Amino acid sequence: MSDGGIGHDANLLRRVGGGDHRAMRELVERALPRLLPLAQRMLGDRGEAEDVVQETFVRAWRQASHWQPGAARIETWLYRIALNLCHDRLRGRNRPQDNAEDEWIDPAPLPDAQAEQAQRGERIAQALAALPSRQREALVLQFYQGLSNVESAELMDISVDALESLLARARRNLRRLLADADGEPR
Amino acid sequence: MNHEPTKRWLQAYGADPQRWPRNGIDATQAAPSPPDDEFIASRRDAEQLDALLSDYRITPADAALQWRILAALPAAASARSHDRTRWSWWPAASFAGLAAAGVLAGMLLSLAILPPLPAAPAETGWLQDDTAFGPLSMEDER
Repeated sequence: MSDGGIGHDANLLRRVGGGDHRAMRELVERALPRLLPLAQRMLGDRGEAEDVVQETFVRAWRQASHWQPGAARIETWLYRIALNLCHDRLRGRNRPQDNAEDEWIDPAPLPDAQAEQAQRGERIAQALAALPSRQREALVLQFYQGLSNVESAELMDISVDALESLLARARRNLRRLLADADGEPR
Repeated sequence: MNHEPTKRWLQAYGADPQRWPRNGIDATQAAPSPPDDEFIASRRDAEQLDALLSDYRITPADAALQWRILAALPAAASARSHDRTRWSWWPAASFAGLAAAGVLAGMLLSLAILPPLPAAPAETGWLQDDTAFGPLSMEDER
């Protein structure tokens, strides 16, 4: 697991549960680089992602004393809190996901290679935001967060077969959205 | 060899065998040999999409966000201690209630069981009109 070592450190969470600020700072330093991309790719908005990550750590700080070693990995526990907060925000937006592709913005071409890469990244961000949230969640967990199929399925409370189906549909829809944006035939 | 799982994994997990299910077959053996057109097309599509997905990079969290998160914790900590104090007054309140009930029961019991107290001096008539020095009434002095 490329989690920077937070996965198995039950002792750290026990210290956090005991109100140890130094332990909490350590947890933030180690988990923040993994949680922020998760939230930002789920929400498609940096400000909201930062709010979600902050709230995730606040809840972890409050609830750490109730955490049971062996019940769930620390990373899984934090992911679950963050994903629940993301789902709350997505529901609160009250925006039909299927219409999101209508908001496609074609950015103007930029000169240098770095700007072109950023431009491609922005296109993917918009296409990802246009996916149904469960497809986006599956892709973010598996591709970007690098979780195994079993871990991703467990976090989403679905079977591995259902996860594979979501992933295949997500990738197919992404190709379609990107082709539409480029004006290519499907 | 059945290559259906490999095609399915290409479509679901992308072109990198490192992302395929860990209990899957070895990647070098997974591809049909020689690869058929369908497999080649699936792999090419998967590689292209993987490359595009990799372009979506997230700017790492800065120190300001880390400080903001840590600064938000004391409020949460006071909420946590508030949660504790909300319940911690129960034992003290219970003890005080029991003590008050005990005092009240003792008073009632003493009224019910103990003989009546001797009459108060007021009832003996020491403030009655007559004193050792004569009647209290000012009218009598006249």
